[in-house]
Amino acid sequence: MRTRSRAESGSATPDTDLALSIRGLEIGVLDPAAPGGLVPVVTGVDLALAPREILGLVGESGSGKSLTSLAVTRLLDPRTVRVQSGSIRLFGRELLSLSEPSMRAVRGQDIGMIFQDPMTSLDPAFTVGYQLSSVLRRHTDLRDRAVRERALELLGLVGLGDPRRRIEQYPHQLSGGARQRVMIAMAVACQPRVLIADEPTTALDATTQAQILELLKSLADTLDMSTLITTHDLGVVADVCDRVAVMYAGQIVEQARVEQLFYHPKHPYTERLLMSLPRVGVPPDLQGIPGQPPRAGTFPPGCRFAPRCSYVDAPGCVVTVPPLRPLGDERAARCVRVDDVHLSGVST
Amino acid sequence: MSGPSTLMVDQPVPPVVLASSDRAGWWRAFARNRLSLAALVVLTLIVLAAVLSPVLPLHHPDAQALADRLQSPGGKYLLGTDELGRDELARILAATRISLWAALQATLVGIVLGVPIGLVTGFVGGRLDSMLSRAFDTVQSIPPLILAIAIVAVLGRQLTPAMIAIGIVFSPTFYRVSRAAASTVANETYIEASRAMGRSNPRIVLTHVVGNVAPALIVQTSTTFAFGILAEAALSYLGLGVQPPSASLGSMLTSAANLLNSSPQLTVEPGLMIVVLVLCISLVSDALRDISSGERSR
Repeated sequence: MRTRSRAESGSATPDTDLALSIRGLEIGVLDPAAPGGLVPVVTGVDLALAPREILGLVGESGSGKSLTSLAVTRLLDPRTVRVQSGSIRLFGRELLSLSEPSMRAVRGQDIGMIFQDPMTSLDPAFTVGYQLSSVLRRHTDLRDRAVRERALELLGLVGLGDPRRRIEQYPHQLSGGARQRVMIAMAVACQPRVLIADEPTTALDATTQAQILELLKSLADTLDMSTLITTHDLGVVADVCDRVAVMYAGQIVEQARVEQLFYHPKHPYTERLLMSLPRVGVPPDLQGIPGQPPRAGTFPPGCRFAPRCSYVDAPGCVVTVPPLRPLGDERAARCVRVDDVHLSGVST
Repeated sequence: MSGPSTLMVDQPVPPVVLASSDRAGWWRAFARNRLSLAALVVLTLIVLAAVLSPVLPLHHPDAQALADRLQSPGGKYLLGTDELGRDELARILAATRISLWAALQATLVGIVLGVPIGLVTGFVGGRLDSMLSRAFDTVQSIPPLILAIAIVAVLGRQLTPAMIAIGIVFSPTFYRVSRAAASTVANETYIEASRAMGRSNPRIVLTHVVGNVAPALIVQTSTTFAFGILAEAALSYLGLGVQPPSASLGSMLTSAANLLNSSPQLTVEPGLMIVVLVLCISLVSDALRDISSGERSR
């Protein structure tokens, strides 16, 4: 049951059906030495998140995926990073032009966020109950007993056993998985419409990882919530996501539904990522991708993956940046040779 | 509530145990260190006796009994009498009371000036931080007693302005401690997480930063308090603090110094009180430091 009014959805824009819509997002890192004082790190990212959908944003370190997810909640450090242009809409409501107080009301209320390291994302000086209650007090009218009841209910919702004991405990008394569950409870405390999970399982061991992913999946359903998960782990994507966007050097290079991406990749970078996955029953001859991803500020003029790509042929590969070409069926790939090379995916 | 709740889980709900309450944990850790526990007991007794001295059955600290001048300890006067026949015990307790109050004033001034600014600049950083840090560095370069003497020279011989001056010179230490702790805390993920929950910066500073800085500040406060007692003693010894006939530990030392050969106990008694006070406070603050650092390094 959702209690929030959807008053602002009256302003009819084409994006009102989407939980989250990112268009033309450009993010730069401040650097006095660079031309214009900014080094572009995220260039022209478009993303759409449908209601209740789980979208994976995959990329290696430095690809810009975390910056993109932080930009949604406008939590980028203004001393080092700037959003230069673009639009981020939550059910049609532009977030980038909101005042800081209105944005604070959005954070935690409409958009929940969980972070990579559950060991450091809870304050060691306060109990689980205190931290969870403070979120409830910030965004709801619940007080005193009702706050405690709701906090206990939330801890149960995220699958923590014995909430009555947990609520009195300090973060150091909890395991990594339990802490991440507490973080999730805090993030979904106000039934946000969008949950942003920045590498939610990277710091957890494999078993816990699977449980947390299962939890995220079931919460998306029970809370009628859309989820954006950033990760560098294609295994995570395969587990929970409906759709995937692959980022490379500040651009989205491919978008597809999960099965399509794994079985029929349309971008050479995706193919190489899949080839470097370990597989059960196959001798471990993992193939890395030769070379290094380009550093921000030194992006090649053409396709940014061209220097490491084994299919470079057409002049279009190295002269101009290829556009993200829609391929129908919710797919898109940023490769000029998408029609004439055949890429192999994961074999069944 | 009436009637069994249908929401009850089938397994029995254990009673709510507050086993790991923060306060209980601190006390247990504190009590484990016998020496600091003893120091705390002695300190508490001294403070109680000093604070309650006006209502205790003692002679008035300023009442002279010239017939009973320079009595030795024991007998009618437990700690003897001074050169004007005043009860030494009553005077020491009254003096301790003044010294404690003076040290408290200096410490509070240091906290009020240093802590809020330190928390903000440590959290915010940037140009404001470097400007204010240099300003506090400048303040710290002033010798506390010299500033106090200068203030006394301007305002006349009063203890409170002098202790406020000393508090001002103490403030950079509080500034540094809270600034350092706040800037460490500012980069923690839980601050970012708290922002992601929609909290404003002032609220984050008030809860997360203060909550994490508190242990360091408690230790700093107790250390500064001990320094405050020494500073008051030094000022009054030089005749710049409490004025006669009132007693303070420092002024008692001054007058007793003339009689060091004939009545050494008059020097030893207030001197011993200073030593015991400062030693006990240091031991307690050491224990607090050990507990707080032990808790962080889990």
